[in-house]
Amino acid sequence: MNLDHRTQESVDIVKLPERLMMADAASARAILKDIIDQGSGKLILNLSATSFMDSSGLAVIVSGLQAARKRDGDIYLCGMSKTVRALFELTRLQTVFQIFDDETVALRAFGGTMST
Amino acid sequence: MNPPTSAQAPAQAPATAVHQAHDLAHPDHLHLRLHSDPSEVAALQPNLQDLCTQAGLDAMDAFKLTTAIVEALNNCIEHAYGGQAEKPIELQWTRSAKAIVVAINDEGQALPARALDPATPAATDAECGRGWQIIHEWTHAVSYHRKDKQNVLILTYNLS
Repeated sequence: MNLDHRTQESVDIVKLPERLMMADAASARAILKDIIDQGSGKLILNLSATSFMDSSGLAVIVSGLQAARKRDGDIYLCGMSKTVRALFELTRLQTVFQIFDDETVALRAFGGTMST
Repeated sequence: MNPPTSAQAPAQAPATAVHQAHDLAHPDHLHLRLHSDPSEVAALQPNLQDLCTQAGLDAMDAFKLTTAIVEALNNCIEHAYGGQAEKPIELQWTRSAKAIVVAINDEGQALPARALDPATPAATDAECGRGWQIIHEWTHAVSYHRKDKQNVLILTYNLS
């Protein structure tokens, strides 16, 4: 599995794949951990391409959040579809993550000034 | 990647039908076989979503039922079989005017009783434990029994 990753203003920005399921969970978890360990601990996950996610996918994102917060960082989410948002709301994860419309707003919330 | 082993009845038919499932016009009954391999569940997921849409569900409801079915299949792999690959899982999809009924069979360990208790959602910061909540909340009825050393989980999604 490959995740589209770039860094802007010390914030790591990762675009999640079209689907995040059990089949790719271990790989995605390892990639995210590596990015967090090597970066600032501030991470934006862009879910604009993600149309399907199961609880294994949620677990990947929660594990990333725990890793980020150990580094005094955080994970912000953006670009979430209505269906994936419903999954977050069902599992109350919208109370754990800050969720933004797009990368620009999420980066601004981290204190950056993104221009795309 | 090889397609998940699956078959529309008869059950012994060659296991190649999963990717054809979405081509079937409004199937009322499907019998699919797959192995306890997460990649087979991933391959099946878009077909399940197509089936839901063909059954008349809107995008949100199709997503919900598909996710519940995927969670049930994941449970077969992770819990019933303890992560062992190549173990059999069967999925039967039945659509009537009133409901979609999905029966999932495996030959693994029996389900713990607490799995059928919908009143135990995971802590918000927990990594795991959300699968059963999704199954319970995003279907209208869940039943479980053992039959001939098999787990039989039945999910019902009302259409009317």
